[in-house]
Amino acid sequence: MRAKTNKVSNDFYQASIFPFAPIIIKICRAYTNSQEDFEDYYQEVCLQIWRSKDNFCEQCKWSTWVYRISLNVCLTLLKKRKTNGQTYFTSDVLPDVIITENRAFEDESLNQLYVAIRRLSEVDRAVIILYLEEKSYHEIADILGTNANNIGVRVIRIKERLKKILNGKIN
Amino acid sequence: MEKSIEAIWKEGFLNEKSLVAPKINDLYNQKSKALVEKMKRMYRNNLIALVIMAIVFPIWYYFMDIVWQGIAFSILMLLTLWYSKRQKRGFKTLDHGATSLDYLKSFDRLLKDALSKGEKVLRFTYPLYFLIAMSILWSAWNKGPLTSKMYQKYPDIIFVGRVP
Repeated sequence: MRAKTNKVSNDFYQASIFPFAPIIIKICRAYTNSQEDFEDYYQEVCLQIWRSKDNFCEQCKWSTWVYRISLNVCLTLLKKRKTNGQTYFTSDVLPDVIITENRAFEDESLNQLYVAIRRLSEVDRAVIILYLEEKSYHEIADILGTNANNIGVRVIRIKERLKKILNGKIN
Repeated sequence: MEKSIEAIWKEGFLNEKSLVAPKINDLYNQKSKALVEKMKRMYRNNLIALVIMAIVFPIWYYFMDIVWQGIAFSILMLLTLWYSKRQKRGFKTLDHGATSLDYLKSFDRLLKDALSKGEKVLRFTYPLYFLIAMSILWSAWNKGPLTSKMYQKYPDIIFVGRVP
């Protein structure tokens, strides 16, 4: 019986979480400044996806469900850390030392882009990551629970801000 | 020409090795330990609160002249305390496991088990607490001072039996 349960859970893990590991990683990277935090967020997302699998209804796609949980978990953890008074670097105060040490990716431009993304507000980070993952405005709106027009306007604004940050026009 | 952010993103993640899911086995062990420690602390605090209430309430009720209700309340508290202490043993059996999956399953099982057992216990204890509370109200009402005070304050009030 237990072996059967193990198999079912393992199958679920392999079939439903691992295919989305890249996007979960991308999202978690946008909300964390250190490897330790990143791994913590990543496992928390996996845990919550697994625990909420029974609540999944067919009204949305499984991928939408995974995105939603990933973002909710990241935002909740971020909020928790803020209220607990743990070290958290907001978009306004992001010390250089953290930025320079945070080389999560091999590509230098990508590292710079992530540093810029982390300087956005929490919601803007979610919007831009989903946009860069080539999700349509409707899909992004569906995941974030807003409307597509709002997303369209937001994406333009975020891209402008990112360009300014990357060009060094915003410190 | 500068690359657009879309191009940076796309090119950056081509053959990106860091997108391999992190190994989380040991971290899960650490996290599970931290979680269990947190829940143990919460349980210990609850047990201490139950002991304090089981001692304080009978004394307080004694001065209010409702000793029996105080004793009943205290017994109920002590029974809850005994049950909570038994529940606490479940944390020792939590399987930290060799993989994250083991941890997830173990944690999920523990939560579901605790919730279902807690629900069953509440089905018995809540009605009993309610009865004790009702009994306190009834005895306060029958003691007289409350009705006489009401008479003094509102002399025109009409009582049907003991109900105004």
